[in-house]
Amino acid sequence: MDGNKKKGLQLSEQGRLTLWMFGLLIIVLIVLAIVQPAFLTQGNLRNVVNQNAVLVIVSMSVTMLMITGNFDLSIGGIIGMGGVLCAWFCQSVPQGGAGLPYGVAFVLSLLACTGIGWLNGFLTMRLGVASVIATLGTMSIARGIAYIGASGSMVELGVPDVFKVVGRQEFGSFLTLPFVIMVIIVIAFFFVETKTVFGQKIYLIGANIKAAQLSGVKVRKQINTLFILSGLLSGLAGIILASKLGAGDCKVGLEYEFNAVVAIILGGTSIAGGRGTVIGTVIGVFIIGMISNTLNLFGASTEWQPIVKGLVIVGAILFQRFAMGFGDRHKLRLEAA
Amino acid sequence: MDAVLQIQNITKTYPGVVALDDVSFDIERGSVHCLLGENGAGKSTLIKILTGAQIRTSGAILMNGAPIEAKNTKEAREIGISTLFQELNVVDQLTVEENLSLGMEPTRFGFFRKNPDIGRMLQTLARLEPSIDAKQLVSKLSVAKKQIVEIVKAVETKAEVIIMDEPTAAISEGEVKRLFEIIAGLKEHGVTVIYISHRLDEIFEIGDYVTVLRDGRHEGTKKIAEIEGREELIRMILGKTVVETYRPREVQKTEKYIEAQHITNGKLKDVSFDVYKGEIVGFYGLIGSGKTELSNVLYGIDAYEGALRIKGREARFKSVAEAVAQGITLAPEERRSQGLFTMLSIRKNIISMNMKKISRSGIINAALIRSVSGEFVEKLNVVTDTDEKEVGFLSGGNQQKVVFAKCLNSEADIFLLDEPTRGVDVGAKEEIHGIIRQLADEGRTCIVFSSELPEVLACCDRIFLLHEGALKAVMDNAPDIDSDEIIHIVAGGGEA
Repeated sequence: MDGNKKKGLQLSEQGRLTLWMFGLLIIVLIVLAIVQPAFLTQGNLRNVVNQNAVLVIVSMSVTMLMITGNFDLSIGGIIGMGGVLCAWFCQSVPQGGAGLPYGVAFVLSLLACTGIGWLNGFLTMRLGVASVIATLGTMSIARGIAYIGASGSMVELGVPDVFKVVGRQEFGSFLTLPFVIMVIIVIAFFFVETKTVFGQKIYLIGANIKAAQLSGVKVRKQINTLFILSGLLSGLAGIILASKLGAGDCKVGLEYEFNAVVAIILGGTSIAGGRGTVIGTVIGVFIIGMISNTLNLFGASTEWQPIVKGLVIVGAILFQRFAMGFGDRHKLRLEAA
Repeated sequence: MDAVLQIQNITKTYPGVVALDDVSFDIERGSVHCLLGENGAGKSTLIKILTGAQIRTSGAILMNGAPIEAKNTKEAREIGISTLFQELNVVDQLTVEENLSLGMEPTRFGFFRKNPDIGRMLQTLARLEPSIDAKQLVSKLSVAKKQIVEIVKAVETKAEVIIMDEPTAAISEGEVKRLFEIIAGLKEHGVTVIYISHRLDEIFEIGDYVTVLRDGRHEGTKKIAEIEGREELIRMILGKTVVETYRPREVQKTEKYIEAQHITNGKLKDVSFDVYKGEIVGFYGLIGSGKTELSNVLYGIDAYEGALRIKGREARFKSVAEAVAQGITLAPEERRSQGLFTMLSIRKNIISMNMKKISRSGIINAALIRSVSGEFVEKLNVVTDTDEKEVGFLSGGNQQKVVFAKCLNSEADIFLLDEPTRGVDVGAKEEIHGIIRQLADEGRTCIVFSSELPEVLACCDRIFLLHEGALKAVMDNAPDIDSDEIIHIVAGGGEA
């Protein structure tokens, strides 16, 4: 084995990949600015940043789960459920709501979403259901609760004004509260990932779950915590989106699980586990976000957008392989066989 | 000499590394030619070149006097060189018969057809191992029987040369005997066997010639009959004299670290024993004798009935984490799949078992990680230019040292060492035995679980003999211990 040559490549693999993706983000930014002058205006950039904040928030814990080798597909359903429940809890009684104070509604809604996260952990770690299947099931359950809560449409009338603050509050002409929440959460996850024992253990589990167990890592507890965290963040995301909309809409959050997974992979996290970074995910979200924003600016019809998005994703993954010296690695693998 | 294979000036270089340096030797037809060398000496590279899995940089291979040029293992097989890899090449989900047909069935439009030669193959199979049923699923066969299926396949594809890469690494002693009989039969039919093993005793038993590689160079090819003994071979492999005999150690048997009473579960039958502080004990037995099961009980993985006291306190671990917290650590049998995080750096592996030491309130201290990792890399002499190297790229011996470093860092005082030197070359083996002795000298208790008698004899103070889950005998080790008696007992021949 060619130890010397691979060493330099291996050591900084994760960092190098993140750097490449950051480079790609800049390239996309420049290209978009050239082809569509409207892209670089302050108003539009503000849109891009704020529209994607919620996806970043939910993708953080999902990234960590993916590093441990687990999926969480329930986030979209939980987003819908969180928004509807929060709206319904604080909706006035005459309008059919529970009439609770907003603070109580907020906490109860988050608790319910956390409960779905707990259920994900229970199904996966206790009963041994593959996380893809387990969270596919709970996605549907959470979405179902949202449908029932909103009677198939929206919880809108009789929702207090304070409900609309968390999604709409602005600071100056550029920053919004969701964006600020996003920044805080990203910093927190970055800290956990790089500076804490908890973060180190995530990589151990992803690299070799058996060895992690035999090294005394409490694997079950660790993954349960991540699922619960994921439920909590999805609930928060749901409340933010509902607040933006001013209503608890049972259809909000559709395809979030898909977008999150795409952004995470784009950000360099391995589906097989063991590798990945939350910063990579942030970059992944914004690459996709900027591209769909530009498509909107061009007035591309919504029917065509998924195709363009799909092409971009495949292209970006190929770019990544190129960046990682795929040909080189492939050759080495053949030699090792 | 009637040479079936002539290896002439083979050189293989990777950028920056010379894996094989101008290696030349001949292999006589119908002989068992053993290939020896430490891990990284170039054995596997040479085998890969012979089988076409890798392309040589320069040099030539002559078969029956004519140069050959296999581009992959299939072409090599067609030329007449078959290989029994360590990872056997059988398909578990198919029957024996289907496996025999596989890879050479004449196909038309890609459909699977029965091999016309299957009848002859089944006859050969029946001759070699009558207990294998052709309609049986291969997954139901033992490793040894799978090997026999592969040998049948090789013989019947007219293999002139069969390469066997550590065929005895995972089979029982009885099966080894059977394999050797088969190899003797192959010789009679003029088939040449290239035999790779780390077990020197086997080489004396079945080898005709031995070729030793060291650091990619050809150290020498000799007739086994002309070799003086183990020592000479080891000297060739290592380039220095090493003889491993047990050096008696003084153990103050004052403090009992482990007291096991009537440990019983599905695999273990009423096992009771004591182990003292500072002692090295070895559990020796064949595969299936309960070694791994016993280590699982001591490490909180498996449930059991009976009583276990660790350092004087009643213990009933519900998880590995609890056992680790009580100061027990395990170097598992399967190094790569259970002991290490091969995709992570040496540094991250070393700290993995004891995060408390390198953190405060859950926040890690990078400087502390570097110093802890550096300390153990140095203490255990892990050969690497940087501890940020991925563990997957290290040699077997160095990987095992990383496992030991990880265990040491856990600050445990009871070390469970399951097959501590499996797949490790002779030099590193001795180094690891030295480390075990050092651990015990520093007041820790080491329990070695091994299926290699020389290993147990080389480093254990007391030897516990297991047979089918029961503890049959306990012997004090001594340089003149009767190894025949030990083999007699573990083979089920009664108690000492």
